[in-house]
Amino acid sequence: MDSSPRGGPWKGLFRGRGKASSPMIVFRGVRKSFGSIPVLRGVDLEVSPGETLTVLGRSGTGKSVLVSMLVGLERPDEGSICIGGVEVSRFKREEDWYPLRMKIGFLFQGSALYDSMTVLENVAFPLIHRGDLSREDVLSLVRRRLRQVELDESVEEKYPSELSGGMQRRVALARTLMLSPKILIYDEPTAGLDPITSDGIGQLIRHIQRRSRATSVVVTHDVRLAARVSNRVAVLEEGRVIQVGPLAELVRSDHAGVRAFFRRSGGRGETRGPLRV
Amino acid sequence: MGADSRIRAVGRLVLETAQYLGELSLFTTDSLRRLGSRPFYVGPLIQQMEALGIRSLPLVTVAALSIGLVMGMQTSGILVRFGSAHYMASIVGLSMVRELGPMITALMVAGRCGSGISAELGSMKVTRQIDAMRVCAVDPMRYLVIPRVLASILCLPLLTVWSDVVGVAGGMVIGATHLGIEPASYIQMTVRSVSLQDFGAGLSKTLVFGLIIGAVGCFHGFRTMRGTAGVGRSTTTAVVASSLLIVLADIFLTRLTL
Repeated sequence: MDSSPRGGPWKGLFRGRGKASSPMIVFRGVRKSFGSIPVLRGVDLEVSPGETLTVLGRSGTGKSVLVSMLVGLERPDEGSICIGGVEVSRFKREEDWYPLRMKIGFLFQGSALYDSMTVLENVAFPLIHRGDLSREDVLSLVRRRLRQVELDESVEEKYPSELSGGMQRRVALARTLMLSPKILIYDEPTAGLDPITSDGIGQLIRHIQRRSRATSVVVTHDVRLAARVSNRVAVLEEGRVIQVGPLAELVRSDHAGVRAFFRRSGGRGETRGPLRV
Repeated sequence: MGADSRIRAVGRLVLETAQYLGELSLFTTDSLRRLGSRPFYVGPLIQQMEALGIRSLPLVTVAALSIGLVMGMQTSGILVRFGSAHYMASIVGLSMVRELGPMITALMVAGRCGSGISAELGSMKVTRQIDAMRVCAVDPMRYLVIPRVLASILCLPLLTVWSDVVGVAGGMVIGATHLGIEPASYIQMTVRSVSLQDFGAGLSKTLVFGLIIGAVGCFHGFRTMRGTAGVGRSTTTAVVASSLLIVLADIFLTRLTL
């Protein structure tokens, strides 16, 4: 299957023809308000190809809104967003996003599995455009992805409601990986999970990053997860990125906001045990 | 409440109704516009036709049979009084085919399936399943809305034909038990009185009723906000709105088909 974006500005974008040094994702002065409430107040951020950047911040600081803009689920009020050198914030129609969405995997907070479909149907759903695949091909692709997230064939015919939270997250991850995305976005991948299951998901994400070498953005308030998966971390506070860098540097930062975040995170138990960076 | 605030309240209600009807029209047009282009998802259409058509059959059967029986009882009593008992089959047949069959079927399907559509899509909206579909480059209007609207338009005429038959059968039971009319002659009288034009007039309404049920259910599902409480609100509003629109549309359609 040629799953590369079809023509237009996307031609060759993800085939290594672009400049290796140029960032894959760029946010410039991104602002967003809901009614009279400002959520993002001018975000500037870059993500390099193959890098895993974690956006850390308390609940309600606009982390999820920020990554939703990368797949067109939200539009910025001001500022620009470029992916692979193409300014996606200029896209007007939903259809403009389709070629790009086939190259981006998005893991939703809460999994967002289709509850009327079985695990098999859920994981196979992104292949809906592939009318040329036989049932055997689909089954083989689904099983490969399920193995990758450490699930076996016994879950295939189950419905999401019959699975635990951790298993649902793994199924959602398998669906996210189905089209071998070049960019992976994880929105609160460990939210609502117990510490042991969260650690398992963290390990899995790290393993996937190493194998796929996809450019990844992880949104979380879980510092322990950030420590496990990130190359760099951006701390978001009141709609602005207040500091970016390796986590080891940030935990020693003099910035009052960053210090306050880590102090609060530790105090609320969000690091889940001793933090080793 | 002063006259000024009363006028303001009426004005607000008029504006809100106009805005609602405008948004519903845009949503319906948007979904119908996609009918002519690809991709077209056949699997979901068949699933929806089963859910809307086959699974509604028991409910429609009971409702139509009850209406047929009641119509038979009401008309037989009155007609006997005027010495015109032989008109019973014609009255029940024409009432069922032109008005009661389409209306009762539409209201039953609106209650059963319109609410189901709205609840299902509303729940998908609040749990971000619709967003997950968009992220997979699948247009939710094509995958979720078109199969439901189309299934509703296709199934309602079929259910109405069944409802007409069952309603007439109900009338026939009363004719046989109360007035001693032979079933064969009852059917003969019905066939003689009901023309194809009468039958077509009733069926043509159901296409519009089907569109209303599908479009209103999907529209409210897609507009759902604020969690599970929002799903409940959408479901109730969808049933009320589609029932009301069916009754209002019936006035215009009856005028057109008379």
